[in-house]
Amino acid sequence: MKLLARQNRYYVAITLILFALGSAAMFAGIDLISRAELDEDLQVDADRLSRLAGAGLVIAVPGDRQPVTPFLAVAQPAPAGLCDTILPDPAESGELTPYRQLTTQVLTPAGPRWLVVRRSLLESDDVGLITTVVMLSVMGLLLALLLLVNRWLSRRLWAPLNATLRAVAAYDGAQPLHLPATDTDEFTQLNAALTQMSSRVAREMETLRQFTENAAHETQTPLAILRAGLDQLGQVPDLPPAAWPPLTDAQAGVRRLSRLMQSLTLLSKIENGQFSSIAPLAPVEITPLVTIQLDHLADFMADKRLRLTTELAPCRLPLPAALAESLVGNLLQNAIKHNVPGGMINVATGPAGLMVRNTGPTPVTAPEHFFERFRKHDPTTDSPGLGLAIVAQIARVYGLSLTYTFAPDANQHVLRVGTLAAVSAATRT
Amino acid sequence: MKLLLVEDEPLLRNALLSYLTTAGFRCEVASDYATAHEKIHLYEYDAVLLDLTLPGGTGLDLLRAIKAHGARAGVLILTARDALADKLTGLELGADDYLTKPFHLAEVAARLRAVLRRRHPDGQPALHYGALVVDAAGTTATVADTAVALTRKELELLTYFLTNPGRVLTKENLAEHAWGDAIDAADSFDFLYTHLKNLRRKLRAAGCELNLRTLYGLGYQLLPPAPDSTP
Repeated sequence: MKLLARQNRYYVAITLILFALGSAAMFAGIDLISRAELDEDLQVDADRLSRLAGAGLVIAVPGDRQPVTPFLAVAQPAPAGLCDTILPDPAESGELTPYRQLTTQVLTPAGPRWLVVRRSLLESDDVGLITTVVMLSVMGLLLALLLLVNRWLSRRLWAPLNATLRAVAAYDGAQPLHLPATDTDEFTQLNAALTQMSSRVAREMETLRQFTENAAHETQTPLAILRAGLDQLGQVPDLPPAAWPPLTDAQAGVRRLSRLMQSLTLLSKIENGQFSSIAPLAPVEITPLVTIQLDHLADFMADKRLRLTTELAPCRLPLPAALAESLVGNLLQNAIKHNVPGGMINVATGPAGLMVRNTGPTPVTAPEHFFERFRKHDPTTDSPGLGLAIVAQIARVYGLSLTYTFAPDANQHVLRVGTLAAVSAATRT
Repeated sequence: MKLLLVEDEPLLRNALLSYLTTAGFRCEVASDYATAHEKIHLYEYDAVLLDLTLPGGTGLDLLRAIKAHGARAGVLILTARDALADKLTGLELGADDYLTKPFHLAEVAARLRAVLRRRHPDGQPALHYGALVVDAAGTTATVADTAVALTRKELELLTYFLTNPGRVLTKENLAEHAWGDAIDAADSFDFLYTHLKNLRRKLRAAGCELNLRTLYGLGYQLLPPAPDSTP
């Protein structure tokens, strides 16, 4: 929920409570005052009529039995003093309406009598109601106005914060944040702190990137010496067979280390966006790459007795060509490497992207860790687990969607790469 | 074949020198930019093996100098940098091929032979092994003028053996030559056995016995043709 909406919600709640309390208090106040007034009027009427009755004058017209017509009674009609009562109102076709009445004893020449004077309570109730309605409307209007002003003011005042939030949300860690200047002290402080923090992150990322790249680069020459040395060792005439296994093991080690360094270099280059500068980002046709790679990998699939099925249709992804090749290669090699003998591979391409489905052992890794570096999904292989990290990095940098699912019933791993637009289109339909 | 070996790392330079000299190249060495630059201007070479990172200058500048000098030498770039840009620039500047460190010495020899065959077709037009001839481009194999139908991988393996006769080539080395980085997908290099068996069978059927020695657990070695298979 937005800050402004949250704030408004509190405003409205508090104001409504205040309105309710205020209206009740006002209603009670008005009621109290009007009743006091009424009681006073009744007392004045009673005094005046008592004097008239005491002088023996007739105070009520016989036959006119309106509720408000004062009258004299011999028997006590109601408790003495002031009280509320409900009587049928002839003017309102006999509907019961509230009245205030005063019953008092007077001495007339004919003896003691009970004098009753009444006044309608309807009018004072109406006044209270109208007052409350008017007040409520005014207050409601005030509230609406307050909210509007608040909204406008908040937008204005909080605009720098929103700009900062947008910048932070889009922050990728590679470059320090560039935040717009603001004349609010708190926001200036916040922006300064964020800029400093992001600069430090960017600096550290750059150091790490350079270190990785340099380490990988500087490793290649010693590796070349090592590999050349092992090659020469293999040429030694009559090399005893006991020396053969360690020699091949050492060669395999050199190869693994070399591949590892190449992968790390590639990762740091993708992160650094070094590929975008080489070629403009025209969409690359993925399907021909898949065909070429599958042909290239046919021997390994045959060696593992894998059944390959393909559903190939034109597929274009916005990638640098070199990375498209790496992406396709890594996905297909992964599907072969982590397959089971006699298993299956299904490769599908289309407007939505590329999908590789393969049989394989149940993963020991949770799907969300699947694309992490150096994460081994299959403890039996010697692969360092960088292939999918490269795929994930390419997808991240070039805005592609990448999903991994595992269907336990069929023991099938499914990897999908596509454009984000294609994915959202697919979910819409 | 006269070769200039430009490499600043002494251990690597010595290994290359030793391997290539044994392979029949006449090698001269240069360990820095200035020496290499001078030698290029003074002498004629058939090929230059060029490291890109050198003390005193870059290999790319040296490549420009070679081309500006009008030398007919083929150039094979060796680079620790797998920067795509450098490779592309190198090829644009007229380099014939490039190899990324770490490389197998046999791969260097094979690439050098290929560069030389392309550059100087008159010198070494084809590879010979008894009655077997593989053409300069490495695309067809014939035994006594009859074409042998080989797959691309079989041809690549055959060419590799023919450019490195007598050398022990490990399975990994052979696999990497023919399949490149795709061998990452393989669990073992045992599939090589099938390919080599097929290659030998096809050549034998055509009348050429490939004298391939198997060093179990290590690799293979192409020995000279047995006397009976020569025409």
